[in-house]
Amino acid sequence: MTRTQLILAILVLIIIIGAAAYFLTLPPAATPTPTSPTTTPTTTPTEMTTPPTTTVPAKKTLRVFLTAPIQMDPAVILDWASYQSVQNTYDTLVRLGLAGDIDPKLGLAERWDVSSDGLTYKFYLRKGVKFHSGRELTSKDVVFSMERLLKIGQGPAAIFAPIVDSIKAIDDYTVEIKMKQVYGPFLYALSTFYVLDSEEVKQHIKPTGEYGEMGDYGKEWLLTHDAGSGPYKIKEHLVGERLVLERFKDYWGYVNPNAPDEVTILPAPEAATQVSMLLRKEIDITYTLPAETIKEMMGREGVGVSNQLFGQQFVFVLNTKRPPLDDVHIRRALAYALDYEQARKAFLEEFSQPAIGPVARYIPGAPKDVTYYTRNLALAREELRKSKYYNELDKYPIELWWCAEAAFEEKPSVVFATSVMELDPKLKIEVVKKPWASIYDATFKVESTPHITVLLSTPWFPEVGSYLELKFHSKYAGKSLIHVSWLLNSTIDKMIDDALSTVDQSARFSKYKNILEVINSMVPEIVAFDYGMAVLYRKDYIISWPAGEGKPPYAVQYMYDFRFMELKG
Amino acid sequence: MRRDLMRFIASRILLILFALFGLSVLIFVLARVLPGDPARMAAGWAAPDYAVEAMRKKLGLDKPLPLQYVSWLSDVLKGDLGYSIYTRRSVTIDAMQYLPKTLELILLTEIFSILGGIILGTLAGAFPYRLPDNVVRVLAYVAISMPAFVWAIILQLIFARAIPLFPAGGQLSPEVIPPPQITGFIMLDSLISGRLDCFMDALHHTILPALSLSFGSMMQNARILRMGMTDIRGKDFMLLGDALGLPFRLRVLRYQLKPASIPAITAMGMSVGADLANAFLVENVYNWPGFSRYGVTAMLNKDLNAIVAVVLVVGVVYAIANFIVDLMVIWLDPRIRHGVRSS
Repeated sequence: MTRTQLILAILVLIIIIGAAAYFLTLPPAATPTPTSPTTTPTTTPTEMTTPPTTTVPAKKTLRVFLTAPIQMDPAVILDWASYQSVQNTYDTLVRLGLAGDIDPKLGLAERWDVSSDGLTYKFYLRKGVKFHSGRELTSKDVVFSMERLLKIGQGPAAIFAPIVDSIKAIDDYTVEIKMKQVYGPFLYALSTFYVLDSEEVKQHIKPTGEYGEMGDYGKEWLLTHDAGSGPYKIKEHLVGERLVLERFKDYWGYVNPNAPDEVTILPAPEAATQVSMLLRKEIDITYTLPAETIKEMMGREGVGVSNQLFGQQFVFVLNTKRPPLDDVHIRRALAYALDYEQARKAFLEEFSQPAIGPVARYIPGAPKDVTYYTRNLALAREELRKSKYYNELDKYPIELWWCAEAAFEEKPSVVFATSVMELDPKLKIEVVKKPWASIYDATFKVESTPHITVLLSTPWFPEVGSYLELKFHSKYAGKSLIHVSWLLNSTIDKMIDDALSTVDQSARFSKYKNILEVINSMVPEIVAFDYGMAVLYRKDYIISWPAGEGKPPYAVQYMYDFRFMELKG
Repeated sequence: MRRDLMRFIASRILLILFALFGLSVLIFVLARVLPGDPARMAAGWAAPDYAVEAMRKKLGLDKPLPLQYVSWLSDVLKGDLGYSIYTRRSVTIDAMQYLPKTLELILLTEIFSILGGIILGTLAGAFPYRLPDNVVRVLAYVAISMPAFVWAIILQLIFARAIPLFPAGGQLSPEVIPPPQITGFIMLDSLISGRLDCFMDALHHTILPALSLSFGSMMQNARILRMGMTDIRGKDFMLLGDALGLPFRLRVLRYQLKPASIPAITAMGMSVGADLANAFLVENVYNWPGFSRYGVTAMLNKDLNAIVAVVLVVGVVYAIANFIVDLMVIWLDPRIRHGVRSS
């Protein structure tokens, strides 16, 4: 054997031994959870007859893909993924229950009074609620949290800053909120107001901040820690990388006995990776996936598809100030022309349903007996003929923008364009793919807002008033991506103001119905369909997931309510 | 000689600093012409005006552009890369968290790329127009023509889904408790804290992404090395070596490989920066919480300070890699060494 051969032989031997050692020392492959945190002591045959001593129950873990980074400070949250995490860590004064409406058993306030003029709310807090720090929650924490939210001015502050005048603690368990104006859906809005442990936050304030004596108001600390009283607390948060929540054993409220003990939230990778990891049981809930992938996985053993309804709608918003869409007859013609069924098929038919107008049909306050447009080319042509643009339609090409970052918007947009072409070939709709930031920039001004913009419309809080105010009240015009139709109609403004200033719920809901009927006739937007968010999950492990099964409560923050989930084992 | 070398190194460092300064000005301005108002995006679409203005002030966007740059530069020189509206904390902290993860991936990528490139390039160069060369050529065409993320998906489908030898994504298995953060490099931290299980698990997770990222540069290195070796093969001194009956190993490894490695080493240096910049798609496929993915998300969110920081870091890595390559080339090639001296 030559020297070279000897060296080669040694190298090969090293590689073989190395590879063997590598694979032998690897930790066990991902196994279906639950995992036991303790190892079972080995027993000798003689010990077999002895019953086991104390056993530690298996820890039920859940691994979820969501958008990263998760914002854990309730005063700055904007995106739906952050709402999921904050919702599980903090409590709100009031919250919606499994029946779909406000459930006094689930919020921090046991009951509340509203003054006869609708300008003062008194909340009577539940006693014995513990923060994760062990401190009892009192009214001063509620006051601190609202003042902090308004001072920071970000996230949910946009809901409360225009309406809340002052807040004070009457005693340890009574809070009084005075309003600047009567706001009927205030209780529903409060489902986005989270209460923080004021002492804990104050202890972690960074003095060099922009909020005067409050320094940074604890913003930096709250990125990676929590000061909540919710059913879960932060165990570890590596921003943008991993958020681990663990069960808070002293939680005052209801938690399913088989709810996850620990939840790991990870940023979502490519669709193919998500599916691979789900099939390998390395993840339990995926993130949004292309419709094709969802369809392919439907019916596969052990895999479930969620249908989370949180008020989302697929909407073609029309710029009512740009010719030819400034003519209501053209807008109505388009509404009659759209092939709604094809649009739903182009999306994910199983998880979408026909709309009743610009509010999702199941949200509190949505009327049950409002009819919406369906495809009717005869009526569409009739409307078209009534239009002042009828003889010069070809002079007004229409641009439809969809968001480049949301590929699933393309197919329904194309369906819209072809539907309109079938109505009249002279009406031309150019479907344009635009980056989100460009759409965002363009919709600040009426002249740069395109003729038609595809928007995925969601209310800020689960009540019809939230949709109507944001999308159609003139005061939100120019706020980009919220009010895009530029309706600017004083009658509608007055109707919305009137409804929102009605405290009596049934009277307010009835006013919403009138507004919807008027708005539907004006067609500032064409709602292609209501839809639920479909994600894949391990059905063999997650036995019950109310929101995933399309059950109430219907609000963005309740989609991943871990406390109501039931895991196997 | 030493003084010449020192002068050469000093001039290169000055040149690098100048290039980085130019890059910082360019990216600082470019980031600000992207569509979108970062202050409003950070505060929220319907945020009250006072909150939007406070955010604008915090980001320094209320000042004229030249002043913004001066203020940013002075902060950077103090080690503060600014505030990220995406993660809502200092970009410096973000960089300290995400960069080691990508560097760890790039390190293994370069090991695969350089070792593979040298072995395959030497084989092809030693046997031109024969089977090894033809195989390497075909492999090179396939590897270079396919982007790294396609390789990432292919390898994942084969070795994670069909034959489950490797994990489909992530940096550690969920059941493995991460090591205490010391340097931010998971494998290094595992070794420092004596966690061999964790080290092996992290290595197991790194192999597929590193392989997919390395294929392109590996085959490029192999092709460049092979080209250099075949060029040298026709030189007179090689013919003399053949005529004298020098052993095959001596001819190939000393007289053919060494001079031919100079252009290949230059290409390897360039590929370090390129792999860092291109890693984002592979990071996305393998759910790798790295710096490149952070950079892309920063761009989509118009996170000005993060965009500038990511581009600058890639620039610095490019510059350092090229600087090391220059030094290696000087060490390898006596002609260049003499050139340095004579200059």
